Amino acid sequence: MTNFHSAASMSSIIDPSLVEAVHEAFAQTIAMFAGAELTPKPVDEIDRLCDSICGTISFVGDRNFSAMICCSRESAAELSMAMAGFEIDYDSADMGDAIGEVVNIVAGDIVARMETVGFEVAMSLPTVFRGHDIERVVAHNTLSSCAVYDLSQSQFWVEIVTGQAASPHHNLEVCPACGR
Amino acid sequence: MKLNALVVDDSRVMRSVVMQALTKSGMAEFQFSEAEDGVDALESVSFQSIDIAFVDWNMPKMTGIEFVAKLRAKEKSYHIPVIMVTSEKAVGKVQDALDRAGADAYVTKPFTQDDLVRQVQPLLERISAKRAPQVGAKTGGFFSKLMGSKSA
Repeated sequence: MTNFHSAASMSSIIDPSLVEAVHEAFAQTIAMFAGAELTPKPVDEIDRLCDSICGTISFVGDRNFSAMICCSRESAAELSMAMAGFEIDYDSADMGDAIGEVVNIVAGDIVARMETVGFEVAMSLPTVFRGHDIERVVAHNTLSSCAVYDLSQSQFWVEIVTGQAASPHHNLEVCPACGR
Repeated sequence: MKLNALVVDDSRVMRSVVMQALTKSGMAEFQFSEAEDGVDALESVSFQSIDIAFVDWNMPKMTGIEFVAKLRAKEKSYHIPVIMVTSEKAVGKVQDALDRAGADAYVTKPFTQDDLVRQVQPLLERISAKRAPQVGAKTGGFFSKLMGSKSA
């Protein structure tokens, strides 16, 4: 099991079942498009947003959170090609459409995975934004967990953001960063 | 067999993916109409004849479920076979969609061409059976034969 505890959240930890469900959904769904196994690697934060396209989707219900995928020019081209089966120009509206669709498909998987661990959540429509030098500002008192995924030629990043910490009674592993 | 297929999805890319998969499958000669939401799709259905519809679930303005329910409520369109093309994978939810809205089948994204064929083929057979002329009509019919023998 990959350990996704966020270094940015020392005092509380995101529910591990949520983190696992989201990262597994991204890894396995995108592996179906890409035809190769993907392994998420935990990182402290998403640090390469200089030229990127990001898709985000929210979930509400027993757990409230959002998930975001950030792609570089290269990974957007690779992902959209794998998903649609044809090339899509990075600067076109269709690229936004494709990344939104990737997020939407992964979100469907997240909803199903959450259901299997006893949480009912509903998903929103995806939102996609593209730009240069995007600064990611996470609201105060929110928890996040980031991971980077390697495609064959490039990488993409996934971040989960939530305001809900894990229940104190939840069976947590010890956080390697703080020992709690 | 020539078929007018309506593809309803707010994603232009996804509409292209569905249309390409159907065309490549060779199951029928498809002529496509596209709609980016349920409102647009209901308008399409009102002025043209649609044989089969492929409908996304999660769309702005009107969900795919709401669209199918409206389709079923209209005399002109209640019979159109509908395949939901959805990213929803929660089994209970998908089954609910089929039961509540009256969709005929569903395909979950991402899908392969084979997944699509498996769901579409039985519906095409149904359409084909409906289109096949009656046995009587093929032979000219019992009464027309009588008429023919009378005039001979």
